[in-house]
Amino acid sequence: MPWFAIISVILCISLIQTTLLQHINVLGIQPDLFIIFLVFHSLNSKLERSLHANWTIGLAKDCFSEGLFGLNTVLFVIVGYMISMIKDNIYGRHLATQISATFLISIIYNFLYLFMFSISFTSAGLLPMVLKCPLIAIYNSIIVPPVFWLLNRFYSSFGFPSLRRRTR
Amino acid sequence: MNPDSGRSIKGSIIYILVIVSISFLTIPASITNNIKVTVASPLAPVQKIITQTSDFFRNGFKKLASATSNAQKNEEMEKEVFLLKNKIVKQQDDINVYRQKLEIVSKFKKHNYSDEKPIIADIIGYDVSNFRKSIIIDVGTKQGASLDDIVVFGNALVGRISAIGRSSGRVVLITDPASNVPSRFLQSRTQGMVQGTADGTCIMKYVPRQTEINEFDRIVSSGIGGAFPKSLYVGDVIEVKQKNAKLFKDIKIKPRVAISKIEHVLVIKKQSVESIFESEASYQ
Repeated sequence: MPWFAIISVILCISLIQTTLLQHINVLGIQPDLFIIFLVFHSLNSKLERSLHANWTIGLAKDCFSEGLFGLNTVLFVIVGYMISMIKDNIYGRHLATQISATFLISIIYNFLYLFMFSISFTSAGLLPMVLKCPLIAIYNSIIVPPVFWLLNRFYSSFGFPSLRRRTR
Repeated sequence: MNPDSGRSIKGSIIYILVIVSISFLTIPASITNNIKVTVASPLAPVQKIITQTSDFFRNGFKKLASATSNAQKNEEMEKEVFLLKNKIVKQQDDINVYRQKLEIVSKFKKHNYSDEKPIIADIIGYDVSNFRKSIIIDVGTKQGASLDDIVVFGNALVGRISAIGRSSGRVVLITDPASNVPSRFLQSRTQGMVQGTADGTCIMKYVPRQTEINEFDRIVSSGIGGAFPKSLYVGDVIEVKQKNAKLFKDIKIKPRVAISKIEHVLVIKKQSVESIFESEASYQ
């Protein structure tokens, strides 16, 4: 995947996430497009390219989020690496796999984030936030099919045959 | 290239990326906030257009969905009532403060924010994380705002500016889990610390168990520490729990301002807030 396409998608995701998704939240939870893009990218790219892209996605999320700068970057590299490690052993092109991977990675990422957050802010009430993790993962999983379809369409329209073959 | 060397290159890439990312964590917040604002600033005009467009459609749908013809009138009246209630709370708190001061000294100095010129700011973006609560506003140093300025909506506290750019700024809301607002109950004057929970509500900590707290009790900022001015409406108590062994009560608060329902906020400049405290200190 060329860099300009990745950067374009990241910019679009950042804009949508910071403006529109706030209005379609359920129980105060909004889907995390960054995580979904990370799963999409990790399932469809080679390890080296995937690591660089995940690092960039995490950095973008850090730029548009309050809190420790670099935390999302570290976590995105780690969870992206996890997917890259197992992707050869799973059938990544199937929708069920994509949904399951998104669910699992959302859970792992959110728990890791909260773990790091609890170290930074020991006084914060963690229990309500821990309870949100499964709900966020479910919400992310639900919107995987349309988002993956849109991303596939986007990359196909730019004429990247390798990706089209991989993701169809 | 043999497989072992390929694997070691991949391994070294991930190590380098993780080390670089961890090194970001050690950068001071002042620098990282500047980086965040610098990166986000070019997107601010686009964010503003998207937010205004979505607000336009949202308001349109809201009006269409309304069954009664007086929906608009009701909305205006609700806004008016909201503002008046906030004013009443502020005035009640002022009266309490004045009464206490009168008991100690024979005269006092009136304080309010009428002389200040707050900056009106549009909300142009929200936090991308589910666990953090912040907003992006279209006001920056160019408009006269600065770091740690207070953000309010109709005399009710919204948050504090945590990062500021030339034409945009980031506001940490009182519902953010890392936000702490020194507060007190309007009637009993008992102090505590209001902390966010990231689910749209707050909790009040460090309220002694023997204190009598009821539902719908009002909470205002206490001004202790100087980070926030006093007497700003923070929220109402919605739940009080008392566990046997605990020294403090568990108090859940509904913030006065529902951030998802507003489009504009007011930025109170830090200098004017500080000047109030200075004048009070010199008076006392």
